[in-house]
Amino acid sequence: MKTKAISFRLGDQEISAQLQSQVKRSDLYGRTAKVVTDKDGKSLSTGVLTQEGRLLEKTQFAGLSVDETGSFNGSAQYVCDGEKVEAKPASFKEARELEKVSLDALNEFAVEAVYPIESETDLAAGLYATTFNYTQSVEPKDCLILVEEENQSYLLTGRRLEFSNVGKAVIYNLFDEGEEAEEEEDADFDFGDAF
Amino acid sequence: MEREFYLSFEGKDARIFLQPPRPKTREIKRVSPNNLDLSSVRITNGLNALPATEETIEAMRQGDPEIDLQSIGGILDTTTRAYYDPDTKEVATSFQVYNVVLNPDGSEKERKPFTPRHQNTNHESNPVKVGKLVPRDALFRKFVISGAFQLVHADGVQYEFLHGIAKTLEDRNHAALLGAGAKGNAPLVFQENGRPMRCALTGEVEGENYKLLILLLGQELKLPADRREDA
Repeated sequence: MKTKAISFRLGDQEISAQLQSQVKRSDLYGRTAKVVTDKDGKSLSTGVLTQEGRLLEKTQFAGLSVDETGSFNGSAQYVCDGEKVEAKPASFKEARELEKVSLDALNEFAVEAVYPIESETDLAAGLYATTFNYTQSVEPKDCLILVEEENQSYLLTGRRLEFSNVGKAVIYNLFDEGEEAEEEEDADFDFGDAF
Repeated sequence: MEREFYLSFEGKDARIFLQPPRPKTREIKRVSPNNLDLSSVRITNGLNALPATEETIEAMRQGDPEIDLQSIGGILDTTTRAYYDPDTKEVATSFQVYNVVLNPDGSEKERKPFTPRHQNTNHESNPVKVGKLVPRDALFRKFVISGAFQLVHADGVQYEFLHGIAKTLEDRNHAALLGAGAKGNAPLVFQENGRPMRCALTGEVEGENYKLLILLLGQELKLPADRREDA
């Protein structure tokens, strides 16, 4: 199993570990693909029809970033509140700080990627918070590392969610209109044997 | 996405509201070197899609029919999806859609005609049922939480209902598994043709205030079978 060396800092202690490749949902349960066929069973390809009625294949158009003048030369920059944001190196190139947190932090955290991790340094079981970016990035992801004594440990990247306690009076947040339906996928697990 | 949520707990049910998490306060955006906001557009690249025929091959020997100089750089505004024969490049006027279920190794498990998944979190007669209670810590260690929504009330009766559920869950330090459908064991579908999701409910109370969250369980926290053998 190919792994990547990664390190962290917990106070004065340097923690070294090996990060395995991501475990995706499809690795566990497979996935569902949509196939379109004609009446004879021949697979059809997907393209787009322009307003003029012209058919375009996916290879016939490309995405481009433009400013209000219609185009731009050079590389894009990143800003936040008017200040330029520099990219941070990948997590494998610097040791990020770890902070021990309660397991309850997982209650308000949306995980986007799961990586099995093996610590080479003694690290007490529990949950640790840090940031993580697999490649250079202007916005590293929030990250929680679940360290287990007996079972596999995992590095979970994603983002912290924020919810407020609700009193008797409620201020409603509206959903964004026009959300697209997600790609459909079978939920191939149930709770039968879990508990 | 449907904002109402029909929930049943210990014989009582109510239609309450779903609320998403608060949006990020810190937004990073891309700008050009002139500090102008960037937006994404689609443009045509001037390539002609030609059928793979002898005529095409002969035409390419004589000239460049694969390039359409008139259409290079055209901005695509409103388009509609179309299915076409990859050999003849003709738009299909009738077609069938199948869902192909693939195993983790990529092999085909089964193929069935596409059937739309209907939203079931605000069904007219089948509420989402609060089922088995499980230790909170065990839930966090067994499942990957891929998202969450908050349940909120709109009137006093709903407030008592939700506050009561949150207090029950907190007092027992447990989460509750949720199930939709007539039997209360189906995954939740939050919008038409949305992904079916296994979900759990967690609750916290602070005096009169409460926080009741629906956690979306994306996958189990475990290694795939082939990697467990290697480990």
